[in-house]
Amino acid sequence: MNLLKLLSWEVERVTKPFLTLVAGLIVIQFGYLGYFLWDETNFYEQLRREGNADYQLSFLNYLNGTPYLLSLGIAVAAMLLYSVWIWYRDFQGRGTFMMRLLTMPQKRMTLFFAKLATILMMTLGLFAIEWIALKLQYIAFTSWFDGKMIPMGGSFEQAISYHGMLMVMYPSSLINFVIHQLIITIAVLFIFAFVLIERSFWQRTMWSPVLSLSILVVILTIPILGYAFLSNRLIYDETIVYVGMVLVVWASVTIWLGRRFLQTKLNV
Amino acid sequence: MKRMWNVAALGAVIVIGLGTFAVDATEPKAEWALDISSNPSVWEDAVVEIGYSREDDVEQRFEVTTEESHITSNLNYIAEGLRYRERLNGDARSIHRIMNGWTYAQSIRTEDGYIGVGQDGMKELIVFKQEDGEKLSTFSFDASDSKIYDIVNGVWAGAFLNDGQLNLIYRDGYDENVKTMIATFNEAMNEVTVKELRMDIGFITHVINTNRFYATDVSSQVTETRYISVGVSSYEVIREGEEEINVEDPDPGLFAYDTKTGKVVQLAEGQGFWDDTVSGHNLFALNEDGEEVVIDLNTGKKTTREVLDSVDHAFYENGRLYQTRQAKDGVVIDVYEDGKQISSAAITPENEEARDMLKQIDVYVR
Repeated sequence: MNLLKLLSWEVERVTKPFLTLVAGLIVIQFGYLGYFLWDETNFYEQLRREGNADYQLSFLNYLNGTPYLLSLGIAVAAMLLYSVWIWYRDFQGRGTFMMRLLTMPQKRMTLFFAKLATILMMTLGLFAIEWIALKLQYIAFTSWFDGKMIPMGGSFEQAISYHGMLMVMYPSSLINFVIHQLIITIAVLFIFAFVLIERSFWQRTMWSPVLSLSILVVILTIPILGYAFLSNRLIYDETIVYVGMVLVVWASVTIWLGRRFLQTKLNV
Repeated sequence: MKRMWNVAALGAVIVIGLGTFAVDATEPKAEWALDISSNPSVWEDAVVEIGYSREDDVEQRFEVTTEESHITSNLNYIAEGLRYRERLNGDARSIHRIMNGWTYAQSIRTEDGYIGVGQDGMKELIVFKQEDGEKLSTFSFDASDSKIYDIVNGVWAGAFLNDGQLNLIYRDGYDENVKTMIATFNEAMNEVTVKELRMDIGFITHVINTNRFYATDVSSQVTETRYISVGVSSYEVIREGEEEINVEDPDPGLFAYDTKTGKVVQLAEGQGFWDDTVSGHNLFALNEDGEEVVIDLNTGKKTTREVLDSVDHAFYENGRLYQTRQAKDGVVIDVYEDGKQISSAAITPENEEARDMLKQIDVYVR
């Protein structure tokens, strides 16, 4: 089976949960936007009657609301959980599905990259849908308050660049966007490596996840400790090179670990 | 085949959503041109910095030279690193490296490189000196010594050189108990003596040409002079209900620390100045009437000359006076040296994005 077939198959398996997640996010965000517009309009009308209507609303006020932040948190949590579940699901039940997958005439790493591509496509899909949703929410926000003659401050770009989470999700530079996506990929690779190491121990006990996690914590912390040691010797441009090298090392080591455990150690 | 449609549909969503984002992120940036009307040689190594700031928009900065215009704000990590590397000169790199982990530092630039003093929290006071722009020597004083502790705890005004020795002026205490102190490090930089600087009024707030922490590119090279140009402020007491608040209020005029008598003297009295600078052994200051006051910091001799008819937005940089003013098609920059105009240029918008920003930009030359 080639990569594209495996990818199609993985995407099909996740379509329903993914659409449920997207629908949930849209309902939360647009529902909260409706409430926000209604609540702020009432508040502003009250201020207007009292003669104190001298404050401006910005799109950032809506974006900093708890329900909106919660919706982003739910999406992040769902993606992290699915990155684990995409492997564990295949180990469930008797005569596990993973055994069939591993005995298929293909390189086992094709399976690894199909699952990785599925997670990345879902992540990028969420980023894409959220960007369109943000644009629509901004249009609704400005049209509503314009119609009610309620003053607004700040632009769409300013709201995004001042928002702690959105400025990371949608940085003003495309290159930074790609770098942030690479960091997300590395986080997924760490989760994959965790599952594959944990599933490869000959005797699976409660210590298996602890041992697996310990190995990854060591890989994660060595460069961080290295930076703590080097930070007083490196200046800004050198720090950027160091961080770049660490990201490459993390990506290579986690892929190598995944490959090694998937091809030679995995215990079904 | 049917399964492929799911991938294609998700791919289409990604392309549409992130395509929209990519279009927004790669919107054309404002471009500017430097149109020189006279004496192009003045602008050969000059960089014009443009700052755009509006309450309801994202702040942007640009750099314009005779050859190119580029944005310098919101750069990606790689471009930011390359720009940092390009801007940090050879001798400043080692100073930035040594300051890593420090909580504060002040330095001045001499012929040999940087010399200054820094602090590592409340633990140490560190003096550093560069020789031949490269070799860096340091000496640390333990802040458990009460004299050092007071320096580390003080509000630092700035540093200067006198008889080859590094001096640091700082404030000790607050409000009505404030004292101006001067710490002198010997030439070997392993001993320090501290004394109070008796002020008739107020306290010293800054010493001209002092670099503050990582901003090591703001000041020109210093030469030893008898008078050291300083800024002086006093506390003004403001009452809010029953509460009295001390607010720092800069004293008008030009002040200097006289290294011969050890006192602060007033070099020019009771008038406000737009900006001042020290170039060589002269202090240049522009008053609100457009007159330039020139004071020889070795003798204290003062001369005055008419330079500008009126002052709108003027500043000194590299010993030259720059006056900028908004015009219909751009921002005009006039350059003066020794009281005479030597060049004129204008920053003009090159595209629609720049034209929209024109009325809200600030221009600076370095």
